[in-house]
Amino acid sequence: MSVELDRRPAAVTSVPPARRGRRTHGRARGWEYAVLVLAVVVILGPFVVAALTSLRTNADYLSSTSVLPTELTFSNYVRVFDEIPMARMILNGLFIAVLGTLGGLVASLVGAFCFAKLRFAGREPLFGVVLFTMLVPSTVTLIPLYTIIRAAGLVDTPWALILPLCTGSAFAVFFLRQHLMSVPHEFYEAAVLDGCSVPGTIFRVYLPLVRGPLAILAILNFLASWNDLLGPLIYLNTPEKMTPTVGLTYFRGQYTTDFPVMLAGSLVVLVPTTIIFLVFNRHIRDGLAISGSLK
Amino acid sequence: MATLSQTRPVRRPRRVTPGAAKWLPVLLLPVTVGLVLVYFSAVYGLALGFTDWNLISDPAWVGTANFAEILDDERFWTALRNTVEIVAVTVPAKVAIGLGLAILLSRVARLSSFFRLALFFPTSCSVVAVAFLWVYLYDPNGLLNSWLGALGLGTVKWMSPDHALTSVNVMIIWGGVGYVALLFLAGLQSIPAEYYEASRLDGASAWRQFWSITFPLLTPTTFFVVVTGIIAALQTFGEVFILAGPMDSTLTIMSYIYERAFTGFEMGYSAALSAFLILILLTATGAQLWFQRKWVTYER
Repeated sequence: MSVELDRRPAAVTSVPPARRGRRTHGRARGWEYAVLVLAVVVILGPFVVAALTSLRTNADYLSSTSVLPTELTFSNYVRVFDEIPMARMILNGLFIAVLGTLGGLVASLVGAFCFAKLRFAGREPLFGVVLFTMLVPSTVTLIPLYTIIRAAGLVDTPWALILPLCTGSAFAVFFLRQHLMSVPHEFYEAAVLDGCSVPGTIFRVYLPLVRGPLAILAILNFLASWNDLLGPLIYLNTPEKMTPTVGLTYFRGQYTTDFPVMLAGSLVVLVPTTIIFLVFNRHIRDGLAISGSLK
Repeated sequence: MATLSQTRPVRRPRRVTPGAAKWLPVLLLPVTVGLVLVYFSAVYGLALGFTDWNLISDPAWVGTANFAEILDDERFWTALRNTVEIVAVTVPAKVAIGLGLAILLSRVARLSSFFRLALFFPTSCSVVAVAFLWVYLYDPNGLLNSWLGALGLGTVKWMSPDHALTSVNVMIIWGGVGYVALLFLAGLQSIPAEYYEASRLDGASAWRQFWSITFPLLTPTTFFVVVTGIIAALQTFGEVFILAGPMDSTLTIMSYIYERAFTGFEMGYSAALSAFLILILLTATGAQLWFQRKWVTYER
């Protein structure tokens, strides 16, 4: 296979929509603020009442119709970690999300590099085939992939969830390729002249230049993996191997549910994603504006 | 592309980079495995649809029996009806409410970033955790009913067979509307203010401005929201897995596939069900790409 450098003029693509200065099309009136405040109350209200309820005993919750607890207790949060192996599940969830995200990013980055910077026979058709998979809904792989992973003996191991992520994603390849193409070619030549190997060039020269897009992808992938329900539900059985998101379902009783404990568990699961949201909400918004979903 | 670099007279085309040829197969391996997995799955999944397979014995070829059975399957039609209702209710509602909130957001100066952050927050949340919040809100003796009771309005059986799907739709709209509002806000902010100024000089009312400037120039955003929204809504699973109504009242195609495949281990039948869902997804997406030229306005 003959490989040479691609000398195409760098395509400049700024994918996140350029933020223009804030423009107000008119001065907001009182009722407009009132509607927005109402919307915020409706959106955040359930989280607030859930937090309040998670701080009261079940007896207190059942005996009073008020939202406010008569006495505060953290016992529900203790029970979340006692009644199911929640600490273990959190470690499992982090392990899967971090490894899957890293593996997926590395795969997508090196793939995107080939499509953006190297010239080889069949590159354009291959890239077209990669792009086409963006249109293929994830439902297509659901059952076939399960039978493959089951045959490989990976069911009830974290690898059942990590390995499929390590093939990268068509969207990430496309997104990183766009950004890599805008990097001037002299970077590659300089690195090669200095005796840098191809992987060295990718990880030492190009990776720092696409930090921003990589961060967007990392955050979206981490959220998607941590919040995933169907994957862990299908592939994991043992509670000690479960992820926290699915572990929550153990709190739902057959006939009666201890709401304060269930809500405490739900809020524990929301802690990591909320921290990420508060720090990186711009990345999340920009990434979702291009990809359309967290999956 | 080769001709492009060869027509440049200044530099001669570079010779084959010795290092790169060796690395190429390694670098492309993960992406290629992913590709093969997707395309193989498409063919293999379709083939499974023609078999009867419980994962223990060998798959038995049954021809089109699964597909014929689906057409007679009362629960499949229930799932399809429910899924279509989720699409038909949540997607337009998210567009309408999201656009309204975006217009309000574009007009406020104070607290604007707080409003945006708060409305967008549910997007980052686990569907399971959020659905549990709503299980609590919708409980017969739960918060919503105790408030309605306190107001003397009586109580609602939120998760009864008649109301469960509507209750699920409310939760889906609640969780998705902030993201849609932010997309519309970005669209609004890219409309040049001059258009509004010029039309104001011509005496256009706010109503006229909306329909002649705002709405047409937002159609690319609307199109994106509708296409991705329909694809997501057709595959609704997590919400109804947790917030499940009685007697199949919230059964969706995806939850029916899950049930047959992973609690009944009927791989052949569920692969055939998946084929139906994929056909619906591709048809819906293709139809929208086809119809977009009728209503989507692109600048320039």
